[in-house]
Amino acid sequence: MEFSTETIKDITVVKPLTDVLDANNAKDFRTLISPFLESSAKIVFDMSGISFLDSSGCGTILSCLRHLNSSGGDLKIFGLQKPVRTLFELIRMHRIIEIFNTKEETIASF
Amino acid sequence: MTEFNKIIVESDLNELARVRAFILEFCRGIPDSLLDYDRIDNIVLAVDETVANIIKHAYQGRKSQQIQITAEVSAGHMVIRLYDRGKEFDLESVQAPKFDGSKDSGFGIYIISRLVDEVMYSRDKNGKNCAELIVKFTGGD
Repeated sequence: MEFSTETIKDITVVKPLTDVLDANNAKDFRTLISPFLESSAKIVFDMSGISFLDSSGCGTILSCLRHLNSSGGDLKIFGLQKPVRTLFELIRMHRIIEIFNTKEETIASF
Repeated sequence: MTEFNKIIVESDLNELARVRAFILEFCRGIPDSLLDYDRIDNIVLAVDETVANIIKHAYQGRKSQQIQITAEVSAGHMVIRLYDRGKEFDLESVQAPKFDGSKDSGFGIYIISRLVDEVMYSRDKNGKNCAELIVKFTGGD
């Protein structure tokens, strides 16, 4: 799995270059995203390319959030497609992670 | 409308994409008036979660085992059955999910139960497990 990244001030915006985050690639995602979590305390995930997410994918995102929170950082996300948002709401992830519609809104919230 | 189809996949998480494609194609053959896009998304996710659970828990990560999936349309509903020969599933042992962000896993069974109308788990005397997901159609004649 590959990512595109963009740095805005002290915030790193990471976009996974995949349309699926599922039980098959969630471990790869977590491993490959680790360097970004170590190098920046403020991370934004651009989820706009992901059309399918399952509970393993959600678990990976929660793991990233906890990792950042434990060191005083934060993870915010934007660009959820409808099925992904539905799953977030179903397992109430929208209550523990800040979700925005656009990158600009997300950056401004830090 | 195709009224019955089946697929056999291996107990490998690589197979999830093929499973989703199978269910998506089957559901798209059902008129929109009975099953809209949002419900199709829900069904695809429920089946994905069920197969992932079979691979992780019933087969405990062992590859080269078989999972058979059938999809069938009957009057007023569709039934998806997933068969495996792994460890018996014990619904009573499943803990309630934690929604406070403290756990990365434990959501699968909850998600499945919320996305389809009925879920049943059974095991026959030959050690064959069956997870049965039932989706009731809305609207239509």
